[in-house]
Amino acid sequence: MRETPLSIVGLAIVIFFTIIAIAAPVLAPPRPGRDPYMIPRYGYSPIPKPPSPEHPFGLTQGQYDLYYGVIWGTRAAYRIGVLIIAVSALIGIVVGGVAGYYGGIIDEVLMRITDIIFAFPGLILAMALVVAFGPGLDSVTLAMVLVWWPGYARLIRGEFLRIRSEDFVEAAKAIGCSDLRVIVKHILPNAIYPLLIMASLDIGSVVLNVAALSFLGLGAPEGYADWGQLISLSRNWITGKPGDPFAYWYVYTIPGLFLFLFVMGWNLLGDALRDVMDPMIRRR
Amino acid sequence: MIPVLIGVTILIFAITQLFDPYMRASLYIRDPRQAKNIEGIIRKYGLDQPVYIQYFRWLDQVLHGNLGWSQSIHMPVLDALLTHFPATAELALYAAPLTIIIGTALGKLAAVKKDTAVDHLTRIMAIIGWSLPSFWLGIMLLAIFYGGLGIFSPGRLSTWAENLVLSGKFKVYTGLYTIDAILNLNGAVLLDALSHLVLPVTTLVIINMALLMRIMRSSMLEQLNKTYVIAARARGLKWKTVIDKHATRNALISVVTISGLLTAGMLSGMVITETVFEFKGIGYWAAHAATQLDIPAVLGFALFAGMVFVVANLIVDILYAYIDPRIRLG
Repeated sequence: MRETPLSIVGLAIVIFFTIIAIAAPVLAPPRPGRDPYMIPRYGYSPIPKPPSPEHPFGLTQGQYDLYYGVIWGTRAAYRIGVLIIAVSALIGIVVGGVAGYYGGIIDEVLMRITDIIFAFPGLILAMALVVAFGPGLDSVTLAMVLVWWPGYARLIRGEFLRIRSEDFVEAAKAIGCSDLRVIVKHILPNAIYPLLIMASLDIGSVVLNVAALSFLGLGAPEGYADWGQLISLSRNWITGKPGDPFAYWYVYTIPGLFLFLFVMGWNLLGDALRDVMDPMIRRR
Repeated sequence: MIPVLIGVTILIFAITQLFDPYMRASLYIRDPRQAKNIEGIIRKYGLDQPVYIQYFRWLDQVLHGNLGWSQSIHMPVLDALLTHFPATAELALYAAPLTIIIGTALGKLAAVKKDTAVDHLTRIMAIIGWSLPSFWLGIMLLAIFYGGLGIFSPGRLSTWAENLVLSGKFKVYTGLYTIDAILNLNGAVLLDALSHLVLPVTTLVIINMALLMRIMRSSMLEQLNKTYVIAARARGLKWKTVIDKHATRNALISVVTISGLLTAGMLSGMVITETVFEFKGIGYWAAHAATQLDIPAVLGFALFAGMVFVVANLIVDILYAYIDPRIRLG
């Protein structure tokens, strides 16, 4: 990787968040016997409380601990982001591989399906799907997968089209390898790297979309450690108190900053990597 | 384009198949009184018939403008779309040109001043704009300019202006309040409407211009390395003329090709931005309907957004062929 200052900043941010996600149980120990992804609350008053020694980032609307929320929110973001990307990539590999390898009518049909999904702005289709499935994290995951896989399918198809006419593929077919063996053992190992890179860098955008759905009130249940929801909870507190307009600065600034830096870290890293890999990766 | 449009309707129809016939009946209702006769609706629209028959009956209804009943605001979905459309159109009217003008201008500037402080600064701006969650940006802008400074406020108009518009003394021609204010020769309403547009338009521009800046920068750099630029310089043309008259025009072609993506970004951005700023356009309505699980409304909106996006892409393709003779003649 070319070492520009920006790519190093990106790498540092990504490492920072990865450490937070791994060390969440140490940084913010959950109460025993409770779901660690549910933020503990300290009362039922709607009015936020400013940072204090016990609650370093303060308490947001409903007395949810912001520090606990953003720390476990990091882990939750990685969890849902990795899950969505892994499933999307798997579907993309199967669909794109079949389309690229067999070509013809199968390719035509599968690629028209990706066209239809691309015909919608992603967030809007995801929103409609979540409403249809019924709000909740499982619906968000499923909806995001349905919106996200076509990009990977097209990438893999392109690679397969390029590789399937190479000599070593012909040779493998000539000695009688089955289609499955040719695809899995010969083509896939040569086709998968651009996908792995693109997929791992997509985590920023996926997390951003999931947070947007949560912000709209379609994602995680109330009290779940989720950046989008924490930002949504802050909407009532932007006006502050008379004479102190920024009295509740911590409720909107902190969770938003975590989400923004997370996405920016991955985008910076992706930017640096794409500069290097550009001819290899065909962007969507 | 036609196959994709048909595909769009099939996908929306496929989503409706997730529900039981009673639920789906609401997609055909135009009036809540019809709900009493659910069995009749199920029979009338063939909801107990095979899927393909249902699809064609549903498509027939959609093509006749019947998108069902939106229970969250108690009106037919099509009426709700039409009522809320002017607000969204007004946002787009200001946000889209500003995004294009500022984005391309900054991208061009970065390319001309490659590897200088200006270039690095625009690159950082692009990355920030690309990474900022639009809903958080909106909240921060509101906290500073509404909560803190009290200059701009959410909504489309202040209460007094809204009362005036509703009173009948102010004639509503288009539903775009800035244009209506000009037609009514009412400067106060114009200023009020404009001041309510500042923050949402700023949000949309910041979020969407990043992509344009990047594309314009790389496309401009590519053009500046072409031999026709050297030839023009060798003939003694001024550097400024070469950039403005020769390179910029060619670089803009690649901006046109991605303006389809820009439309998608704007449409998604509208849902979030209108929600944050309580700007009551179709995005606000759709997001509100989504939280109420108003399925006909959300599906109607998704269908509308899909159609807009497909048509926008078609326009881009036509425009592309028009401005680039190599595509038209090649």
